[in-house]
Amino acid sequence: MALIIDLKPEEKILIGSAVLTNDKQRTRLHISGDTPILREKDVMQEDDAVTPCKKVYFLIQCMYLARNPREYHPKYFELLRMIQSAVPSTALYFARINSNIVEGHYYKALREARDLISHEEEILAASGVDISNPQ
Amino acid sequence: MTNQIFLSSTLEKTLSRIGEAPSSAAGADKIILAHIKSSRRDCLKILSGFENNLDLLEHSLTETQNVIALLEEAGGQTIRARNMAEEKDGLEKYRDKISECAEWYQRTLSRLRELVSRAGESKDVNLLKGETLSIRFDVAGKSCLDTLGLDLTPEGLGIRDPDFTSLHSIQNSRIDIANGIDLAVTLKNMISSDIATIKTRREFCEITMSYLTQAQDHLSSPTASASDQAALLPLIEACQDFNAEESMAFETQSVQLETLKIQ
Repeated sequence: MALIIDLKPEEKILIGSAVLTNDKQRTRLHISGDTPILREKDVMQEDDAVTPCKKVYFLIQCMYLARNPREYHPKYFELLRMIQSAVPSTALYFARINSNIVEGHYYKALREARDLISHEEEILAASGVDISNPQ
Repeated sequence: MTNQIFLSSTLEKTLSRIGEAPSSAAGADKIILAHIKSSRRDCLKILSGFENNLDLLEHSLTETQNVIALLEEAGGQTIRARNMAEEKDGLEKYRDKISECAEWYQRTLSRLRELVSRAGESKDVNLLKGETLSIRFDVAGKSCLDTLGLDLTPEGLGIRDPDFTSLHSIQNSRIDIANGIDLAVTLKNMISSDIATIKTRREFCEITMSYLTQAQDHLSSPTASASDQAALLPLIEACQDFNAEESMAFETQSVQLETLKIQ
C-alpha cells in the first residue's frame, strides 16, 4: 500500500537521496517502495541537537538516511550507554527504539525517539533547567 | 529497589500504550523492568534465528560459487569446441575431440544437477532450487527479509541438451551457459547482500542485548540509587563534549540535511 503524504505549499520532503520542494499549492503524494522519507518538520539539524536525547534522534535520522547505517552504530551506542546508565527510565525507550531499528523501521524508531526527547524535556523542566542553555 | 524513576507524563503515556498504566514511580520501575525482560527474551529469539539462517545463507553462497565454477567449466568446453569447429573443415578434422567436449559438457551438467540437489540436504530451504528463505526481524514475523532463490539446475537455467554437431549449435550452448552464469551471479549477489544485512542487524541486536542486560541489572539492583533528575544534569554536561570536535553526521548525510534546512 502506498504511503500518502500531503505537502503544504513550499514544504520540502526528502525521498531517498533527493529533496523535493513543493510549489505554491497543496500537493498529495502517493509513495510506494522502501526508501527513506523525511518531512521538513521531522528533520533535526545537528545544531539543534543540543541535549543527549536530541543527539540520539539526530543519529537515528542519520542511520535512516545512510546507505550503510552501521557507520553510525558506534556513536549511537556510546550515547545510549551514557544516557541509559545515568537515567535508567530511558531504557524503556531504547528497548523500543532498538527493536524498531533491528526491524529496519527507522521512521518508527524516530517516533519513539521523539517520546524520549519529551521525557527528557520534562525531567529538565522539573529540575529547573533551561534546555536552550543547559549549563 | 531505590531507583528514583521520574514519572513524566510522556513516560506515563508510553507505559499506558504498552498496556500498563503505573500509579507511582515505583510501579513504573516494575513495568519498565518487565518490558526490558520481555525485550531481552525477544532479542534472544531473533538472534538465534539469525544464527541458523546465516549458516544457511553462507552455505548457499558457497554452493552458488561452486555452481558458477561448474558453469564456467562447461563454458570452457563450448569455447574449445567452437574454436575447433571454426577452423576450415574443423568439424570433420576434430570430430573426436569435439565429441569429447560434448561428453565433458554433458558430465558437467550432471554434476551441476547433483550439486543443486545436494545443496538442500539437511537444510530446510534450498535457495539453489528456487525456494525462498524468510528471516524474521521480530518475534511475530511481521518484519522479514525474504531471500528469493533461483533454480540453478540446467533445466531451471534453460540450458539445452548439448548438440555439438554444428558451429551454430555449439554457439547456442555457449550462450545458454553465459545466461546461466548471469543468473547464478545474480543469486550470489543477492545472497551476499542479504548476508551483509543480517550481519549488521545481528551485530546491532547483540549490542542491544548487552544494554538490555545492563538495564535489567540496574533496574533490579537493590543498591542502585541513581535518580533520573539528579543524573540528567551531569549527563548533559558530559554530552556537550560528545560532538564538540567533529560532526556526528558523515558528509553525505550532512549534505542531505543541509538541503532540507528551512530557508
